[in-house]
Amino acid sequence: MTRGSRIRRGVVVLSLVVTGAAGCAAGRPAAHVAPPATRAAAAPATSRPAAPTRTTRVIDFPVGSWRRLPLSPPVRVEIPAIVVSSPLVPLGLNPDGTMQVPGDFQVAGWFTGGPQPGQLGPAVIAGHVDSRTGPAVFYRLRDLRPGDQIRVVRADRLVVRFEVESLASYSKQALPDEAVYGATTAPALRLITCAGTFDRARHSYRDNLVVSAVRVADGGGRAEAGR
Amino acid sequence: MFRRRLAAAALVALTATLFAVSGVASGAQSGDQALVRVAHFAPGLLKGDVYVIYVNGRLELKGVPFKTVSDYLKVKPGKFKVEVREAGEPASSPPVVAATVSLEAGKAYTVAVFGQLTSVKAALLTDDLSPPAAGRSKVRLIQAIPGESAVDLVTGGDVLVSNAQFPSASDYQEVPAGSVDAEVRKTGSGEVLARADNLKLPSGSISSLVAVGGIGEKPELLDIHDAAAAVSAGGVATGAGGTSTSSGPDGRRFALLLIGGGLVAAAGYVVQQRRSSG
Repeated sequence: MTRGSRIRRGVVVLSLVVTGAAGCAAGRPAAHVAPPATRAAAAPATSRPAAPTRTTRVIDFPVGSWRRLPLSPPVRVEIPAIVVSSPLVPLGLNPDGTMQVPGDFQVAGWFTGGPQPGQLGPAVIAGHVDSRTGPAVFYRLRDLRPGDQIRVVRADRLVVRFEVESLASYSKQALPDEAVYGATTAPALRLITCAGTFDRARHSYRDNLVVSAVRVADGGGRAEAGR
Repeated sequence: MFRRRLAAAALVALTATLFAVSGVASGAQSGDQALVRVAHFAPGLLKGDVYVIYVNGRLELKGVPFKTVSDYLKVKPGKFKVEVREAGEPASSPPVVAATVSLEAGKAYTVAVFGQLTSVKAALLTDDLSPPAAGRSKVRLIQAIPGESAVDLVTGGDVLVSNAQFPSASDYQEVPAGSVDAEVRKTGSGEVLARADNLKLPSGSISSLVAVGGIGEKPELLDIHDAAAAVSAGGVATGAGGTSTSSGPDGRRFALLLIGGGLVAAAGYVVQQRRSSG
């Protein structure tokens, strides 16, 4: 059994996606993914001269925590502790409502049904633990420990940093939504791969390993909260 | 959608109880803890207009300016004494508001400071952070403009919340995700107090739209993103078994291959040894 899986791909990997080929994900009703909201060119003119001007203020993060980032999709994930550096392909939903998985075993993917890494909510990045012949991109995910750093590089070259909080394994058939997809009040990250026993009949691992991380606050720690 | 049911903004009294507070809210909402944050919606305070927050007598949040919310603090469920002081005031000074709140495990709360000048009060709002259905977004209205008796929230031309009294928070309403124009209007006259064009409500987002303002302050609509969820996609098929040690038909074949390979290697080694010794 080979150790580690430091495999770099210099070329842009085609976003081939296996649609349920391994057939092991728990069945979920199909869900619609809304396209990201687009910025309108200009505010429509108002017919009411007395109406106030645009006075909205958006607060997507509380005071003194994380800097607000414009939208930009993630293109790479780097996890120095386990020597992972992988481009990211977009992952949507299969017709049965399960998440698509990367077609390339050595490449991780970002789930477009969740927020972009760094934005409020749980961003989800999935990668294979192994191929049919050996370790894949997230083979060593199990070796991560709380405090380990994860970096996500965005298309605009900005880097968002996360810190691992916890690791947990769940049966795929009973994966608790709140552990992966549920609402969070912080910009969070979930790294997912397979774990547990491999069910030869189903060509599938029984469990999912979920690594939970939270975005590192800007300005060195959450200085404004607590003492 | 004319749901008028406004969640009771429980006005809380001044008392003192002690309980332990732990770290800061993390990414996940853990079931055995409660989340609580403080929001500053009271205009017209004299000194710098910034609050500091004490929980059970300990300074927990420094610098919550007008029209902002603090981070969520993760706390053990129970009763908490929350005190709000103006920034720069000593911890021994009488607080602007003090409230004892009872927080339940697995729930999220906002201690919101409403009012102005001499009549500042705190209300405990329950933040229902359960995710909306796929492709939808959750929105509520918090009416924090003192002096305006009641307002309506209009999104995309429809009245989403009507007759919201000061101070109050409506229930969250599910709306289709996307961009929408929103207005806060005076109930009855329909006068537009504040407007937000092209408000972004991404799929899975949970937001509080807050009408704020008051003496010397232009009414404004704050779009506070409380939380966000991803589309639920169940278990993920991320492995093909190549490193698995479990048994089964394929596993046995793999084991045979290993044994076979080992035999070949051993034979080769023996041959090699014979050659080199011969």
